[in-house]
Amino acid sequence: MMSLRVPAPSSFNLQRFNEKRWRLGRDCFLSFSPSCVENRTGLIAVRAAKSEMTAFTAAEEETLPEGLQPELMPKHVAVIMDGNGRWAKNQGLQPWDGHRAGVEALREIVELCGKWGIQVLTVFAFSTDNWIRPKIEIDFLLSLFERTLKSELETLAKNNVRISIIGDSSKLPKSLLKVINEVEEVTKNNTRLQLIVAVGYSGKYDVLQACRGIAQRVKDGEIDVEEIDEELIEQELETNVTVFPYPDLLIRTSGELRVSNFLLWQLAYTELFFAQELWPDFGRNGFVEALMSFQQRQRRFGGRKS
Amino acid sequence: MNTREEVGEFSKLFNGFMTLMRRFIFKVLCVGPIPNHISFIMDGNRRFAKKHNLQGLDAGHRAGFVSVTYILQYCQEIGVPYVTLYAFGHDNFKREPEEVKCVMDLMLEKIELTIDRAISGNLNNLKVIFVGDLNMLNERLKAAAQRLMEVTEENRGLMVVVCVAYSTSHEIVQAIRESCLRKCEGGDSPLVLELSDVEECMYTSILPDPALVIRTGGRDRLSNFMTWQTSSSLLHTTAALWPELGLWHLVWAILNFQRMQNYLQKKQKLD
Repeated sequence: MMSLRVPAPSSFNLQRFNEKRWRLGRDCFLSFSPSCVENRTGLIAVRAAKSEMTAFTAAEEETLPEGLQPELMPKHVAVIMDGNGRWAKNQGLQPWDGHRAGVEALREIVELCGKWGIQVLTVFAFSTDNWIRPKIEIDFLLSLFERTLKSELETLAKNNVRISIIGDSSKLPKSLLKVINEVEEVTKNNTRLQLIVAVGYSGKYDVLQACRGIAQRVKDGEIDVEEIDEELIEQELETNVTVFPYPDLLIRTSGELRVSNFLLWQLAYTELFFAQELWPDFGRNGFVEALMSFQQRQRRFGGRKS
Repeated sequence: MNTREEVGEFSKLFNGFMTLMRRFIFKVLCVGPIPNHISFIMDGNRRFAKKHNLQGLDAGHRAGFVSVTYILQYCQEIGVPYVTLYAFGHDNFKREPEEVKCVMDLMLEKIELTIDRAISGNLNNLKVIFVGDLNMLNERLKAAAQRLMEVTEENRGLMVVVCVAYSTSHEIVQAIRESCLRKCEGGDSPLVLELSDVEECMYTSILPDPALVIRTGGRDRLSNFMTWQTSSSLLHTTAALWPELGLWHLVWAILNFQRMQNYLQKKQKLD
């Protein structure tokens, strides 16, 4: 269901947008700094060239679009990036072209989050349920992830983005694990934006592994059963890599009206936004719409505003 | 008087006709798949009371209860085997004490009414169970809830699950405590904890997962309600307030569910 998205914020400067098109040929998958490429169908969304990476500076900070208030921006946004396969099919392309289009869409959203003061962005890249997909697709996705992480490491470091990967890493190939560790280590002190990528993740798995950790501690006599409470579980969940584990807003694209086992515990009071567009088409406009909808909502967390 | 009898006759006929129409609509609906378990997040009672200038703190909730009776009747006629109602959340205790007391008293009143109906055989074979942290309720209410569960235990019709003082976080905490207790007495043997061990200890272990979640009141969030069990459920939000929820809203929600089923089945094959 979920295709693997590569966390790859590039230049935070959207003014570098030019007419370079993003190549869809398979020979290009080694590099994510596309130069001029042929546009196969003429319907592909044009994305900014990312070859020059500049460090983000406060002077380049984009003001919020009209209608959005800075004090009401969510601190933590979670995204289920659905629809790559369908997008590719609609354009008459192969599924992996859809995944690559998805990567570009993710870049845009990461840039916007960095500019607009959102502190944590969690993306659902690969679910535990996705292991059933054909091996060729899984291999492609994981190698795409690995290549992009390697190529984008420098940009991330420069742009003060911290990357964390959550999920069941036991099934991931060793080379990918090595790259993940390296990226997490290099970016661990960055503060502008924390990008959490969920790979091999599911909400139930997260709670179960927290439960196992707690049970082991109880068995070892470290804690008492009565001491098990919500805070303890929160500390044991994989989202303990961030100080804001509870998303304020969850966006799901492609019109599906479900959560699909993503972030279960953490979604208790999250505002949900379901977008009709497919993920590669969900760009700035879709994101602004989601944020506007969020800002208009009254959040009560079970209580009552009189 | 004659006219009164005529009016009485006329409304009987009219009601009979409406029932027939409804049965017909449901028969058509049943051609497609029907959700096995529908859960309702009943939001919007107080807004309804404000909208219609009703007096009294519990006016909106009383209107909400009327809606409950209709919806349960429709679900029973359609043939849905399980229905869950989110009556009162664990976090709702944060509200004003007067309002909380009002809601608790109303619940007690309605539960006692339902017990009477069950005893007199007017409950249509409904089985009612209460899930949640029942220890947070006052003694009378807790006793009434237990009594209603006992009285309807043998019924085999529609199972109505009423979530009172419920929240998923709380449910998971107590499920983890319970499974820890069970697993940690094994001495030196290595600790093996599986998903099924945790799920067994949840309040809702006897129920299948909801296929459809209907939230009234226009808000798009789960409010700590069955976030574990609804991970693959269709989330349907309607702007209608809970007391306004009627036949057509329910039919529309089920039609949406049926529309999504084809796609979901294709996806499930793929995943």
